[in-house]
Amino acid sequence: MTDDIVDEQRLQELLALTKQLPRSIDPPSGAWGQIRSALEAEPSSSGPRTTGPFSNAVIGRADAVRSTRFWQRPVFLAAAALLLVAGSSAITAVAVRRGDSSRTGSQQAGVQPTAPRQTEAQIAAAPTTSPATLAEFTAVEKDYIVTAQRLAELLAVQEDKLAPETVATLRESLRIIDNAILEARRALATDPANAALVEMLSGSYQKKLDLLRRTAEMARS
Amino acid sequence: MTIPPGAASAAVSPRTADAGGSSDVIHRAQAGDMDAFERIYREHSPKVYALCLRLSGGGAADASDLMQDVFIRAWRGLATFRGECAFSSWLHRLAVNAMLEAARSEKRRTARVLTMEDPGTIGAPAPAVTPDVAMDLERAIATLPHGARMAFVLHDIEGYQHQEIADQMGIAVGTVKAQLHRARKLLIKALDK
Repeated sequence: MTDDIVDEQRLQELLALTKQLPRSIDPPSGAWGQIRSALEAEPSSSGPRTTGPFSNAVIGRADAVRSTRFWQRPVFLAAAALLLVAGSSAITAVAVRRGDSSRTGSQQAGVQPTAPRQTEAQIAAAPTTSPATLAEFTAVEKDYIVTAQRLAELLAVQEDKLAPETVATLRESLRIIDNAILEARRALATDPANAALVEMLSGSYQKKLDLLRRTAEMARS
Repeated sequence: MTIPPGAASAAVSPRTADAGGSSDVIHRAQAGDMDAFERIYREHSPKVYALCLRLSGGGAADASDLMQDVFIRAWRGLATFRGECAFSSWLHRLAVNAMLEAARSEKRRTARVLTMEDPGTIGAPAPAVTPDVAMDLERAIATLPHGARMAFVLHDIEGYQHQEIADQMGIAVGTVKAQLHRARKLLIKALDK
């Protein structure tokens, strides 16, 4: 074989060998879970995008967002922590300052909280330990979600006992926490071994539960 | 150049193309049914992963990342799939596009000035391999320069035509042929060692 000419026999041997290569190889077992988590974490997770063409500009934006690695910026962590604390404190402050006149009125009228006991039992089943890995977190994530949903339902029942300002602050705080959860899940989709992200995600869920619990207790008391 | 999947679908006819899976499942996935999309994933991921593994140079982690990117793009772009080509072809095109974009990003990142129109300047010489006959062909493919590897994988393994590869890679047909020739020559040399 010279530099420019490929020996025909050797070429045929190569092509024959190439044909024997497997066309299918099983991907890593956890790949689908990561794909699903990433898709469910997207704002449009209710389904594939149906507006606008599937363009490389869209892909480029998504890649740019992923490559930003927001969680590695200390300013994000500081801001997120500050917002969580501020949101939780703001609700307490608003509730104390306003005295929740509607709640007082309800108490005077002898109205009792209407949340079912089963709900509170399910709330008590929320995860209490912090998972260290994505696999551990995935195992308890459903508990976080179910508990948060139950608390939200409980609050919805009792919402009229809270001042509108309290409810507005609660909603804004939940929005901030949900965004933090969303961003952490997106980041984990591209960096699943990052323990700090797992901690941030479970911490955000815990903050959400704490916030909902405290607000629900305020509504009941 | 990167071709949006679904556009000019007739240009793609890989040897591995199939019926593209049940249209009912695809329609359900297009409507947002994640379970249906999981069925699509289960059916197509082994072939897509094999393609990603070879296109990315044999690294399992990179291939897994690339494959995940492909299916995330597929979900986002499902609405644009009109059934004008086999679903597997559409997925393959996504994988190739994703690989090309990743290669461009890496090229920009490392500030390496390479041109696909000049095969003589593409990549460093392939590292020496010590093939153990059959299985080591995979390793030898992984060591090919990027352009040569793309041409070989797409043409000799996946069954694309020269023109199809040229369209996807945004290079001339003659360049594809040169890359393919270079790839075969390097592989034969590697297998001879």
